[in-house]
Amino acid sequence: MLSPKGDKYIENILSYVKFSFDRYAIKTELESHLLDKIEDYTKAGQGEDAEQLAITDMGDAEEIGLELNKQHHPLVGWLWMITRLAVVLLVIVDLFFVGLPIGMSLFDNNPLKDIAKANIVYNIAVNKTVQLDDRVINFRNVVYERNGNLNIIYDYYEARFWGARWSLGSIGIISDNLGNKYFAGSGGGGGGIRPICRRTVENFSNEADTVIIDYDQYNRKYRVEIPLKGGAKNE
Amino acid sequence: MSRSQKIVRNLVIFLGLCLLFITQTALYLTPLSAHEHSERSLLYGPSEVVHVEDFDEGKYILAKYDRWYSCNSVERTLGLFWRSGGGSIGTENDKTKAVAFSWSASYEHCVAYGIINDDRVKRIELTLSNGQVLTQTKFYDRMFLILWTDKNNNNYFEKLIGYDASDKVIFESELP
Repeated sequence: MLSPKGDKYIENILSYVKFSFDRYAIKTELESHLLDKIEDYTKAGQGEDAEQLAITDMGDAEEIGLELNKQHHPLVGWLWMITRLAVVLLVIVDLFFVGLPIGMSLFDNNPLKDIAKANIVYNIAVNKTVQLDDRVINFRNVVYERNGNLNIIYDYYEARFWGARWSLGSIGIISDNLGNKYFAGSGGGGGGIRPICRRTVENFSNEADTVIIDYDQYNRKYRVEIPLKGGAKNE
Repeated sequence: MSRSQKIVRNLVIFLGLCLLFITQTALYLTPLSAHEHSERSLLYGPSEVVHVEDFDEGKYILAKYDRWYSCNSVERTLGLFWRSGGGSIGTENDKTKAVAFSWSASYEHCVAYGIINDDRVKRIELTLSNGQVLTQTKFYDRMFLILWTDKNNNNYFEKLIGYDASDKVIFESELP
């Protein structure tokens, strides 16, 4: 604990430091430094003169204050504060607009889990990938259900890092090797960076041994043929 | 690390975070790059831009691609950037019709656009449900674009007519 004289000496130094946000840290450091010196002089037997000697050792308050003001220049101080605040704010913004969609993708529900196991006749792991422009579509599973529903599970993502990411509207027309085309059914999936989706067609022929996915829109084409009889029965 | 070094470090991090935000939220410095990237993500195009027209929130981009025509919108955002508006893709040009057209509305902003297949058509007249008539005689590579606002939700598309030079009706349709 400093005496009023020591406090006044430090306050005098601080009066030259214009960047007020640094004053507390400087004050703490100066106090600690001064107390160390006082302790040294006290141990050396200087007693009552210890504080004055310590202050004399420290030097002229104006000189120290001006030097500290140079080191803690207000312009540099403000720039440091503003850039730090900007980084913190932008981290929050990025977490919300970038991190959240990525997080949603990581925890996106796999629609395969929504199909009751008891209803599955077979489930084929497909792992076929096609690419349209920058859009990569990965066909993961084909699941045939007892009620005749055929489910195609797929995910997709943009190979390009930058830019617009519209949802994939359609994976194409579903048909089988017998020539049947299937339009009735449903489709859907989550959002985010790499959504997992499910396209279901109803009344799929149990005689068919291949499901065919034909995409032909706006001069983009692919055709994926998935053999059906390799699936494990009653998984 | 000195304070100056910390400022430089913060600026580098700040720029990196800005870049991450801009790239991942699909912001662009020009309306046309927003349009082009939007089309590519929609697996459409690249279309040939025929005409760009301003509206109060951005621009409409009238374009052709192979046998399709489109009117995409891009919007100004955050003062400096552009982003895709409606994400419009093409409508196939039905060449059996003298005028192939489409219309759409996004909030109060409505737009009718199309392509003229019959060269006799010299004037397009659009009638709205409140009786207002909008006319266009200047075409852009045989395409037209008519904008209007519908603030009270009672001013929607009703009829489109294509006239020849002598005001004879060449084409008339109430629905695209």
